This record gives sequence, structure tokens and C-alpha cells, in this order.
Amino acid sequence: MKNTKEPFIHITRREGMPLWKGLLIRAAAVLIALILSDIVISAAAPRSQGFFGFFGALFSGAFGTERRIWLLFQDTFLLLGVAVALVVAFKMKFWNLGGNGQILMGCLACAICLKYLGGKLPDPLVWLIMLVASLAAGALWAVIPAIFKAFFNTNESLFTLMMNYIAMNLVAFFISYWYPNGTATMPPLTEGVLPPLGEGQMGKSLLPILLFAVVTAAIYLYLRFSKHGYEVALIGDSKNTARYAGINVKKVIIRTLILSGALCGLVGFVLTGSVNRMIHDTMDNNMGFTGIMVAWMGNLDPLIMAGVSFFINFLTRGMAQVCTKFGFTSEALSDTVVGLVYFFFIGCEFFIRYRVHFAGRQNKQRGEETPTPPEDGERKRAPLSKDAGEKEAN
Amino acid sequence: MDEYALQLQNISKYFGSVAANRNIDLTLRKGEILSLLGENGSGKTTLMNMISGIYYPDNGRIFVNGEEAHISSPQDAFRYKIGMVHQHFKLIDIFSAAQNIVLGTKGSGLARINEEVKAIAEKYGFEIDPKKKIYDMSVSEKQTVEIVKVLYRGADILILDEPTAVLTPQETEKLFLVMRAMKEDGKSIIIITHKLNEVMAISDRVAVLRKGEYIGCVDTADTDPASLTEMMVGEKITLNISRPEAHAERPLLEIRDLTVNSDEGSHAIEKLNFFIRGGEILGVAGIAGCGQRELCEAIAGLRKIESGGIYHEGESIVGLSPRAISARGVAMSFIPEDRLGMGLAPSMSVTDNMMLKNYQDHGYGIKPLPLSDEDTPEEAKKKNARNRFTEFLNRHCPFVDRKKARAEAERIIKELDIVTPSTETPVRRLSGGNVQKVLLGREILIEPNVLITAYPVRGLDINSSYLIYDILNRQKEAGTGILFIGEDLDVMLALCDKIMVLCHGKMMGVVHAEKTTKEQLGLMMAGALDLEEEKGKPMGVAKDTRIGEDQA
Amino acid sequence: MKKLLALGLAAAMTVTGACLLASCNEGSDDSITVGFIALHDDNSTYDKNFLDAIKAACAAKGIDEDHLIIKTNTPEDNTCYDKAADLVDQGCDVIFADSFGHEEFILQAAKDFPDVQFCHATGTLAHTAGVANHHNAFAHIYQGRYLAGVAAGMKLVEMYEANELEANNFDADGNIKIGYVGAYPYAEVVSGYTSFFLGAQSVVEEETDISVSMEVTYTSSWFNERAEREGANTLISRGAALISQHADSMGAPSACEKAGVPNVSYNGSTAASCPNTFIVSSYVNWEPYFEYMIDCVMNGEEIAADWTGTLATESVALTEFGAAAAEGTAEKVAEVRAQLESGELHVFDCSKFTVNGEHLTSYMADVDTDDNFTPDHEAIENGIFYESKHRSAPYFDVRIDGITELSES
Repeated sequence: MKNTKEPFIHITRREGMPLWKGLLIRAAAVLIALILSDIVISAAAPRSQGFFGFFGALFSGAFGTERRIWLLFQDTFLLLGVAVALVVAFKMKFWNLGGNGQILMGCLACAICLKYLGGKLPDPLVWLIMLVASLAAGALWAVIPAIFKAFFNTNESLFTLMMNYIAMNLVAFFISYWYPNGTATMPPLTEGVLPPLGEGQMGKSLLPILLFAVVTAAIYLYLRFSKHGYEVALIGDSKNTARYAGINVKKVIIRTLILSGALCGLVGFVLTGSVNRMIHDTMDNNMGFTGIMVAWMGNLDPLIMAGVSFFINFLTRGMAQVCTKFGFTSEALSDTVVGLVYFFFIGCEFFIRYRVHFAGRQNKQRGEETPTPPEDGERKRAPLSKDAGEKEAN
Repeated sequence: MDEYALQLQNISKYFGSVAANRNIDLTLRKGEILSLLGENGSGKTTLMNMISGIYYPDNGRIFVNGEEAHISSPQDAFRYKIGMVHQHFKLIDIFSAAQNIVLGTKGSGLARINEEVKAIAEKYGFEIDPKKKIYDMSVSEKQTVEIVKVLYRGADILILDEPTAVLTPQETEKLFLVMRAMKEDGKSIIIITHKLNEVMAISDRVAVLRKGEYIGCVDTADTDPASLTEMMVGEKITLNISRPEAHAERPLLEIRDLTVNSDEGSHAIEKLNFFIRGGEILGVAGIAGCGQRELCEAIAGLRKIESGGIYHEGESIVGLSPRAISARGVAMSFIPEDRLGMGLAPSMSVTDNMMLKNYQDHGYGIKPLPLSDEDTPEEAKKKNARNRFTEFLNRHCPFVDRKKARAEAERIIKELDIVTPSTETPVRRLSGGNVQKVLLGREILIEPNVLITAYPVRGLDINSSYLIYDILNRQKEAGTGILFIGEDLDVMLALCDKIMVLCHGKMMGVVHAEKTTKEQLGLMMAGALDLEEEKGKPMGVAKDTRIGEDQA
Repeated sequence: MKKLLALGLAAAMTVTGACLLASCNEGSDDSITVGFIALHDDNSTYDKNFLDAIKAACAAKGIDEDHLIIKTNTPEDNTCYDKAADLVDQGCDVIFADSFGHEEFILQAAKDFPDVQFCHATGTLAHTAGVANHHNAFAHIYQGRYLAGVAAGMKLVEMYEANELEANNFDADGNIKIGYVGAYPYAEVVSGYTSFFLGAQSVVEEETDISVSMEVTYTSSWFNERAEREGANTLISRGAALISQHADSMGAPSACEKAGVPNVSYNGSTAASCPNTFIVSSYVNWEPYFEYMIDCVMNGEEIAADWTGTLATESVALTEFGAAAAEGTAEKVAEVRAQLESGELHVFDCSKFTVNGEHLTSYMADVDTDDNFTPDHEAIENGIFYESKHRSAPYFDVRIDGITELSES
């Protein structure tokens, strides 16, 4: 009979981990990713500013001037708005991957209103119509896949993804229709755009910041305290149980996706109505996908998601400055570093959930996780040849 | 040392901080049948999984025929000639028996397989058709395939995990015959079970586990069910399930000619007729898949029926929404095999699960103003108007009222002795028994008049099981009509007043529990005895199995 | 565990401290600071052309690396404004943006920051917007294209006389077919391919008794490698004997290299990656403009609202000829170049091309951009269409005979 080898490594699941420990591991993972990037970048850069210069540039890019700070918060809250929109669907385990398209449709609806109504109707009326149109357009883009999922059980990931491409091409179509002799760009519109809420950069950034802070709080309350939110959580947890509770699952799916799409449309409304005042086919800036990362890394909790969004934008803006200062003229580097951070963050989840054992340490007692062995352990470890005739043991 | 086919020394296995097995010593002699006895949750399956290579022990050593063995995969286990027949079969439905048997081995041609399989079958007394497809087979035939699979690979040590859970009494007898034949041939067998009478019938020795620890091992000849129970539970308990006298009340729920389809479109229930009286427990016996699940779902309003009628207190409830049916007092608690599949939301807290059925009625909690005689007509009118307004508000409140649900949760936690860190703990963190108590507790909270409960003690330890029986009996005494779907015939014979047997969706008969026998039930479950067709009235058949013109 | 925590905290504090120190040294002195906004980055031949030029110009003028701040990957939306404003915050004295769609936002920035100079390539608004610190620049690149066309024509003649052309390389009238991969169907691109065509046509008609015809396909993008490659392949399969392009990726040149079809490039030599098929590339050399721009700012002089570089200022240039170029190309090109510089030869000579069979005598071009693209300036004088005279950016968008646009995608 062949002897088989003891397994060298085997893995057991952890029961749970104290919150601070998990946070520390995640923070450490991110830090390690950044340090690794730093080492490579400061070694290979055309104009290296040194190891600490990397972090200096990161912070300076994010916080260096007042304008930068406002822009950082503006981007944070826009991304958070998208992530919150997606969370509403994700809680129901409906994988809305169409954030980009829904944002673009909101942008497009807003642009159409601006182009045809701007200056012709009083501004507040135009704003109202723009808002409603953007919400409706985003909602429409989300509800079409939702209807198919509810009634025909089609795969919502694919469907919402495909809708992204349709939206992109619709936008390109409109631009080339409005500006046929151009290069698929359009100038910013001036009539009917949303006004700044103050002076300078702060005035421009306040609208997205305030609006999406309110939206985030509202959605948090909605999901946690309202009956709708309860139904969403229930369906996400167990569809059968939801049906048993008498919930019309189809209706709730459609209703929830209307909300999800409308919120993305709201982001589009702000992007076109206030920030850019025009539209192009990548105006979503991939927030539909980054928002998924924010939602997931934030554990579907709006407060944590705010922190994650802030960190991602900090990193992105900081890395742009690193590229500039270190003489890189390609910003693919920025994406690489952000990707590396994601990779380490996700990878450390493995160590949070599982514990790795190495062979040879098998018979040692393990620290804080073994409960105290029984006092009468002696009896149990006695050699076994004597069990013949053992009567009732107590 | 060579006496032992298998020897476990100081084996432990931990899942996180939970010790599934702790410091277990076990021996298996050559050519003996050893029962591994223990309640649900005592660690039997985990232990056997380590022997069969599915888990790797955290501590301890294993010796096979005197040599130390490292078993880190099922392949290793086979090399040591250990084979396990699991509770949940690992067969491929579209293959034939022979194909399943040779799966994973370096095989010879299929023609030779058929011969070899037939040879094994004849040696031990199995009946098996090697060419038959698995999906055409009954449960006991599938189990036979699993056993032959293991024998084909040359196993000398066999482990059978709860083999009789899915068998009728007759099939169980046949299995025992086969096991004795294998023993004669020198094989060593471990049978995992929690059924005491089977232990007494088949095994040479009994090893008892309790809460992950090894209690001891006795010769069967020297023991009895009471002592074994004491070893399993740790204290003397009475094994009696009380059965309070049933008052004969009017039928609360009537099922007439009910036909319900399964998900695949075939008839899960065909022309079923029965009724449930208040204050009575009607058991439903049948092998897995005989239509119990579809019956429950149809009554609760979760499944459309094809034809027939369901009447509650005289009114048809066909086509009503689950909420409406629930509002009439029809409660259902169905524990599926994975325990959390239906009726409970695993990631949500106890509180959130409590309000599953009534959250839509939650309001702001504004109480109406009481009217008193001293009110002038003016004041009364004002109060009425205000009450109508608050009622309107309450009815259209968009928020859930967790305070109310929390109070309900605390109530059932106390009444049913549920062990949970708090009302906000996610339900999936509770142990199996407590989960089932939450489910049953929630259903009872609405003070139902008809209670349908399926497998309420599935996987529970003895104490919890008896608590559940108590709850059911109390409901019965309060006048509730109970439909009890279960798998343990002994329990049903003790607890139920009447037992209805289903086979492939057809009713085989309704009998008085105290007048029938397990054998009779076994025959009905297998379809071999159909009391509906019998002329005259054989002993034990309940008189009022048909709905007659004479309703009480 | 505690030790690890302590170590971690210490590390974090050290890093933060060092960072703060490191970021505190934005020196200031009397060198001017130049800001640059690029559409993509140096993976795009378009931007790389600009980036190389600005770095060279700054080096020539003694502006060190710390005073040249480059921001890449700037989309044509408000991000451009934000980056421009950020450059102003960092003390830039002059800011340059390189893509057409940046203009509106640069103009807005110019209005908001009147003390900083804003220069923009290919733009059209400076001469009408009336904002003193906003300027446009371009070059008579059509002349470069014409010369590149001459080189192409030489190659075509060589292939024709050596009987290397196949039946499908000729159109129904017996003319040699060539192909052009363009981005968008508007003036800058039309001007480019027409001048290229005219250059090729001049040589072929001179040396043989047949002519050329050209098919153009558009990709609707400045940078889309796949679309450009497919466009080139389509043209080749339709019989183009030679390909040129106005697109920023390596899609078309690499398709030509793979098919063995000669290629005339733009914005930089592709000789390294396409050794067998590269003939020549025309490009705008921005260094003269940048040096002019820096000089004006250093000396406090006004930058021209519309600056158009010429062959004389070396703003229009050709790269080295590749291995695929025909014999005698260098001499011929030099000869034609001299004629262009002296004014003896004009690219858009109306007698050399027809529109619907007629020679043009008058054409109203849309020079002052407005939403309705109303033509406002007479571009033809004395039988010559004067491109880039009324503003630096091209406005020749006439579709002449001999050129067919394949798809308006």
C-alpha cells in the first residue's frame, strides 16, 4: 500500500475577524501596493523625484491647491452618486452593469433640452424639464433590461452591458447630426445651463457635492427604513422567501431599476447641465464600472462607499500629478497603479477569510482559536487497545 | 494491532472556533458492523468525511490495518480500500448504473463491467440492472448503485451515512440482509445512524458521539435503547411523545380532487381528497418526492393548481395571494433540505424575519384616540375625524416598524428558548435547531387555525425535537388543525392522530396512527398497498377519509 | 500583533512627514513657466509630434524641465478647462492645447485668466472672438501633403513602369487607384487628402499618359487602431496601389506593411515598424511656433491671433524618405518644394482640378465658424484657392473630381 504525503498546505475558513483587524489588513494591502508602485516608478521615471517624492506628488495632486480640493470632492460625490445608484440594484442581486449607458442617456436628454429649449423658455422651466427628462431617460435605460429579466429571466448583466453601447452610439449620432462638419465634438452650450452656486471653482463644484450628499443619505434611509427597502433586501437574500411574503417580485424589480437608472440619469443631468454643458460619447468617464468597484469595496454601505470613492479619486488625481512630475507622458501608468491597488485589496480578502496551515505544525495547539480542551483529556489519549468490553461510559 | 481494520487516535477537526470533532478515538474490528450513533450535530458525518478523504484532520492519526495512513483525498481513501456511501448520492442521472460505477476508474470495456457488476450483486444479494439509467431508478435502487460502486473499487471498509433515511421499512430490511452478507465476506462496515431500533437490529458494537466528543463504545448485545439514549444525550430522558386526546371538531381545511403539477410539468399531486380537523394532527408519510412539497405550496398559495378545490372554513381559497391566505389563519412552516431556502431570509436578522408576513401593515404606530361617553357630539366628531386621519396615515406609511417586530422576536425567543446573541443576529448564524424554532415561532405568532409544518425537526437534536413536539401539541390542544409532514415513521406514529400516505402524488389511504403498523405504512409508501381501492374497510382505516354529506 | 501595529504607525508617520517635506519645494524664479495640454499621450502620433516639439523648444530657450508642465489624456470637455485653470494656479505664463475640441474651453479659460496667454492648435475662433490672450496656430500643412503626394506619385510611376501593378489597381478609366484613410469628413481632412491627391496626380500625369483616382474612407475617430486598419484593408482590397492617412494610430501603416502596399504617413516616420512600405511622412513641425510663442511671452510681445507656419519657417516638414521611396524622389521633391516656396507653383490651382467637370472660379468658405456653417469669405483669387489665408486652420472642403468618398460612417 502506497503511503500518501501529508498535504503541505491546507486551508481552513476563519470564523470571523474583529473589525479593526480586518481594516488593518486592508489598509496594509493598499499601502504595500502603493509602496511597490513607488519603488518601481521612482526607479524607472525619466525625472524621478525620489521615493518620498512619489507620496508628495500624490498628496499634492489631490490637495495641493484649493481648486484641486474642490475638484476632488466634486469627483468623489459624482462617483458616489453612481455607486449609490448601482447599490440599489445590487442589493437585490440584480447586476446593473449599465451605469455608463444610463449616465449617458441622462446626459443626452439634458443636452437635447438645452439645445432645443435653452433660451426659448425661462431658465427655471428649462431646468425642471431637463431634470425630469434626464431622470426619465436614465430610468428607461435601466427598466428595459429589468422588464426582460422580470418576465423572461434574461441575463441582466449582458443586457445592461449591451445597452451601454447603444447609448454611446446614440450620443455620437446626435452630435454628428447637430454638427455634421465637425470632429464629433460639440461646443459647450450657454443657454439654459445650471448656474454656479457661488464664486470660482467652489461655485461650480458645490452643486454635485451637495446634491449627491443628499441623495446618498436619502438612499441610505430608503434602503434601511422603508418598506420598499425591506422588499429589496428580501428579494436579494432569498427570492422564494420574498414570494412567500407575498411580494410581487416582478413589480419590485422593475420599480427598483427605475430608481437605479433614474439616479444614474441624475448624474448625467449634473454632468451635462452644470459641469460640462455639452456632451460627448465618453462623458460617463467609465464611472458606471468604477462605481461597481466602489459599491463592492464599500460593502454596499453608503458610508463606507463614500470613503472608498474619496480614496479612489484621491489616487487617480494624485497619480496624474505623479505622472506629470515624474516625466511620464503616458497616463496608462496611473491606471496601472490604481489597478494594482484594487488587486491587492481584493487579494487580501483571501487572508481575511481563510487561514493557511503548513504541514508539520499540525499537532500544535493553536492560540486564540481553540477552546480549552476538556479537563479529562487524559482518558481520551490513552492507547486504544483496551476498548474491548468497555461498558457504558459516562 | 492487526485486529483493527481502522483505528482513529485523538482525531480533532475545527471549523473556525467550533469543534466538530474533538479528541476522538475510534476502532473498527475486521468483519464487524459498527454503528456510529449520535444526535444531529454530534459530529458523525464530519468524522467519517475525514476517513473518506473529504476533510483533513487538524489533529490526530489514522491507522488502517495497523499502518498509519494519510488520507487527503477520496482517491487516497480508495487506495486504503475505504469507501463511503453518502447521504446525498453522488450519481450522474443520465448515465446508467454501470457507467456511474466505473466513473473515475481506469476502466475496462463496458461489456466486462456488466459482468463484474452482476457478479458483485449476486455475491451479496443485490438486485441491480447495470444498464438502467439513474433517472429511472427509485431511491433504494440508487443507493444500491452507490454501494456497488464502492465495492467495485475493492473497498474492504464501507461507511454508510444514514442509509435508511430514504427507505421504506421493507427496503431497510433488504439493506440489512445485504449488509450481513458483506460482513460474512469479511468486510468491515460503519453505519451512521440516529435510529435506535436499527442500531439494535444490525450492529455488533455501537460507538456514541455527543457534541463532537467520543463518549464510548459498547457491544450491542449488552445494551438497550434507553442506555444508548442516555449516552447520546447525557441524561436520562423519556422517549415518549405525548399525544393528547383529539377533540373532533369541524373540518377546517378541505382538499377536494386536488391536482397540482410539479415544476417539470408532471402531476405532483393527483386527485387528492382529505381534510384536516381542528384539534387534530394529520401526518403525511411518503418517500421523498411524493408530492409533499407541492401540496404545501399549493395550500399556502405559492403554486397554481391544475384542478380541484381547497376550502378553508367552507370558502375556497384557490387563487388567493399568499398574504390573503395567511390573513385567514393558514400558516405554513416548511423546512427544506437546506433549511434556509424558504420562509426565512438567511442574511437578515431575526427581527427582520419576524416581520416577513405583516410588514405591509406596519404603520407609524399612532394610536387612535379612545372615545368616551363623556364626549360631547362635537368632541366625538372631532375625535372620529382625527382617528380616520391617523388610520389613513398608518395605512400608507412607507416605513417599517422594527420596534414592533423586535418585540415579537423577543417574545418567541423567550417562549421557545431560542439561543441567539441578539434579535439582530443574521439568521444564518444560528444553529439549525434555532433556525427552525424561529420559523415555527413566527408562524405560530399569527395564531393560526391551520398549521402546515413540514420536517420541523429535520436535523434537530433530541431536546429541541421534543420542544417542537410540545409546541405542536399545545397548538393542537388550542384547536389548531395541523398537517405534519415528516420522515421519521416512529415519531409520526407517536405524535399524529391520523396518518395519510402518499405515493407518487396519489393517496394510498388514511389510517389511525394507533391502529396501524410501520409495515403497513411501508407498503403504502411503496405503492404496494392501496387502501383506497380495497373493498370493505380493513382494520385501521379512518372512517372519515372521504368528505361525505354529513359534515359535522 | 501590537508590535506590528506600532511599526505600521511609525512607518505611516514617517511617510507622511517626508511627503509634506517633499511637496514643499515649489521654487520660483524668473524663468517663465509653460503649460501644455495634450489630448492623448505619446502613444498617439499626433500628440507625440507636439510633445517632442515643445520639449525641444523649451530646451532651446533655456526653460528647464521644472518649468514645463505637461498634462496628458485631456478629453475635449470641461476637464480641459479644469486642467488649464490648474496650470494657471501652478504659475504658468503661457498654456498650449493641441486638439480642436479643446478650443471652447481654452477660450473660456482665457476669458477667466486675462494675464495668461492661451495658444491653441487647429482652432478657428481666435480671429473673431476678440479675446486678446487667446490665439490660434497651424501651418500650411497642405503644402507638406502635396510634397508627400509628389513622392507617392514617383512611386506609382515606378511601379507602373516596372509592371508591378495588377489589374485591380486601375479604375474603369485606366487611372491608378490610391486610397486614403481619413478621420472626419471636414475641412482639415479634406484639405489634407486633396492636396496629397493633387501632388500625386501632378507627377503621374507628367510622367505617363494616365492619371490617378482616390478613394477615401472615414473612421469617425482620430485614434482608433482597429477602424483604421480595417479602412486600409478595405481600400487595399478594392485595389489601392498606395495608401495614405490622416489618423493617429499605427493601424493603417501596419496594415500596409502586412499587405506590402506602399504607405505615406503623417505626423512622424513609421520606418521603424514598417521598413518595407514606408515612403515618407509629412508633419507640422511645431518647434518654430513654440519658440516664437515663448519669445513673445518672455519679451512681453503680443502673440499673433492666427499664426500659420510655412515651408520657409520650417513649420511644414517631411521626414527622411523610406526604403520604399522610388529613385529620384528626393530630387523631385526638392524641386517642387522650391517651386512652392517661390510662389511659382500653388497647390490649390483651380486649373488643375475640376468640380463636377467644371473648374472653380469662386468659392465661399466658412471661415468664421458659426452654428450654421455659413460661408462667409471668398477663398479664390485669380484662379487660386488660398488655403489658410484668412485663418490658420484649413477651410478647403471642396470635393473634387477624381476623389470618391466611400462611406460617411
